[in-house]
Amino acid sequence: MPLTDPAVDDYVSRVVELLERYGVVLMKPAPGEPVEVLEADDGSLSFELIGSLPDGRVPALSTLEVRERLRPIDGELFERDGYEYELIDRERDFRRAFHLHDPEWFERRHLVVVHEHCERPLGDAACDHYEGSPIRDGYAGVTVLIDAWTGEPGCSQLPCLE
Amino acid sequence: MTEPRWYTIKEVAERLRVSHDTVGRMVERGELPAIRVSARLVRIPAPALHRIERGTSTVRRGVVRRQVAEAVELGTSESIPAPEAATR
Repeated sequence: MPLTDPAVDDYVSRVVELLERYGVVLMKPAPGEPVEVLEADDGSLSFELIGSLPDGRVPALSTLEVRERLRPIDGELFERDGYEYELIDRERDFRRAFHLHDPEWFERRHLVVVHEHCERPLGDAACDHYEGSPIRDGYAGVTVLIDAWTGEPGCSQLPCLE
Repeated sequence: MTEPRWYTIKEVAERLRVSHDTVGRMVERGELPAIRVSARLVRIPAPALHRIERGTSTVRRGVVRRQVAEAVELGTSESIPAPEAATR
């Protein structure tokens, strides 16, 4: 859903709040620091969040990353046109990721806009990209990562993009 | 033994010494975020429960803007041909 410029700040702040409610310990932004929204020369807004899921180990073995880019669609509104939601679980040795980037290339090559990654063990995947479903917003992006962390990555059930 | 990564509502109620309904309301209000696995099964991630047990509240962060030349880069971990190469 398109957001006004001030609503983007509210949205980003709420995504961070959801991560922290799930118990994610954020490294970016650092504890107590504000979240940074980048205003690029092309008018887009973007942000990056990096954290870990505490598992009793120091450092924690599971890391989580959220990146989003929102492009201006008219003078006042912004629409999310790229994202990356990434989970690396070193304890159970897997990676799960949900991506929207380079849509023209993926559409031409695979007739899809979004794709996913699944590696288990880490570095080992049946294919470079898997078919995926669009993630509607950052709240859903955070939730699918936590779902993967508490459940199973399910790599073998994912269809490859050939 | 490895600690569980998630708990059921019943287990959370026992740990917090509150009723099942109270945990359900915490989940509904978003105070205790949960993963809905099916119509009847909800998983409470262990770190979310531990945050409540520690009494750590979440405070909404402020947001600051910074001017940059380029937005956050996406797709850097994979090899996608450059646009000019892809159109040949």
